[in-house]
Amino acid sequence: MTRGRRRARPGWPSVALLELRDVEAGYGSLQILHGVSLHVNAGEVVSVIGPNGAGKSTTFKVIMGFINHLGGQIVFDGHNLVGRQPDSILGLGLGYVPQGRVVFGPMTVRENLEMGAYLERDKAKINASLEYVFSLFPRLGERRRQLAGSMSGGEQQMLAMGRALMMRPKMMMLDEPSLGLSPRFVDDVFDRIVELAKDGLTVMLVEQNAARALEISDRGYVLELGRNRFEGAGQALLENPEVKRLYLGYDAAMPGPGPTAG
Amino acid sequence: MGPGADEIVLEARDLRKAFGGVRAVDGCSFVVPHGKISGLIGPNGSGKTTTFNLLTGLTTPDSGQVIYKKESLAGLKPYEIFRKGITRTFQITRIFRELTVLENMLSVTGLRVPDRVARERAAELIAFVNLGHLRAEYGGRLSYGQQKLLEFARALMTDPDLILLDEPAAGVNRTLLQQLLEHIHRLQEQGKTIVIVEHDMNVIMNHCDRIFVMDYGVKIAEGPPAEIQRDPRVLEAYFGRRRRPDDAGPTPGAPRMA
Repeated sequence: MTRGRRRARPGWPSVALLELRDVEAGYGSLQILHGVSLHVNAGEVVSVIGPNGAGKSTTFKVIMGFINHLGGQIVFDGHNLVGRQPDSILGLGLGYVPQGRVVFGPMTVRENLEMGAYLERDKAKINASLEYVFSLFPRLGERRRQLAGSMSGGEQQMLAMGRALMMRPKMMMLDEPSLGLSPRFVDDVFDRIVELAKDGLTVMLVEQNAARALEISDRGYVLELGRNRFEGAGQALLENPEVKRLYLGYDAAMPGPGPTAG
Repeated sequence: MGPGADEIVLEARDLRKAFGGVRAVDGCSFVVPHGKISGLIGPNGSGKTTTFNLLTGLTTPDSGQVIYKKESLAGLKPYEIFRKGITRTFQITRIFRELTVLENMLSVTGLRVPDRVARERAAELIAFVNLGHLRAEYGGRLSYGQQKLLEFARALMTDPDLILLDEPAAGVNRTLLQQLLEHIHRLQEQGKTIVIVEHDMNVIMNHCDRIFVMDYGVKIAEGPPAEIQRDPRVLEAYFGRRRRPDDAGPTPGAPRMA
């Protein structure tokens, strides 16, 4: 374990930047979340893991106001998010990177990034944000005039992250940032998340590459069928035999692929 | 007698496909041995999915040939290639969003079995990929990972000889993935041939018999997993710095289900 950063110190008064209490949500008649509770303290990296259909992406979508909220409370930075529209939530400082490298393919890198700042009217601030994103992702700066659709998968994921950073959020939610990326880009993406967290950004991520996500996380939550199943420190969850067997894809007793696989 | 172990089931001969100025596949040749699990790896954008599309008739090559069981597939439509016994899944899932999970399974044509048998088979496969509780739900309401699982199950509705899987692990829970891999090995034991495009090195290194590596639209290396992990060209193109493929290489006691 080489994580050199640990902000969530036991015994310190923690301030939850984001808190969900008994949240229920779904699509039409299909209820996915049956009472999910979690919190993310300022400065933390928190992972949400669990089997397919556990409600991980749904949790992000209901926080951002994209889908029907059926019950429970969602509070971000002292603001009640229930009933708010996604743009209003974005304006409060909560960034969101959806699953699957969603970029505007026919637009340039720079235009994609400018779209991320569409709530911002101050040109100087937009330019400062652009410079900030280019300093984090030099590759995006080199390719600012290239069409996003012609970039590789890893570059598109960087662009999606950069776009979410254009509003200079307090917290960013990433839905499966490593999905479909080749090994070297997976490394890049996780490295960037760690760097952003060191800079003070609060991060919550969903990953099927759960071992890799827990490695860089202060804490983690395991969801199953729309309910909380386990929670704890990232390392503790990694070492929990039941979590290993049920969610990480290898048996505790076996020297399986281990947390570095993938 | 069935085909021998050394028999070639599929051959790609100098395949080329350009999209505008981008040469996605640029002279790619390889042979897929019968009854084996082959892995196709390479950086994002190296031409793996385009190659799958060329093999299955979704994309027509600018030049080159695909030979399946000694017969050219040139000019055949995707459904005609499917009827010859080749099935596939997609990286970006292609399920029917307005059909239910069960209806998606039964949408497969050419099953050649009574409806009752097809329904039983569909129910078994749906249960196998943990979607039993969602069988009456619309496909469009499934999460990405669940859509991948539905596609995997649907690909097994027929009795294909050659199964092409495009990133079966992406978005799929790792524990369930192990069960899918066990199933893939059972299919291999039944004499099926499987080709997997995948970035998950546990899948590639622990479960494939042979690996093809693509970069910039060409095959740059080919061999068994142990060899590929040490190939400097592969390390450069694919794994980058820091994380060596050995980190995820075959491990003693790893769940190898062959």
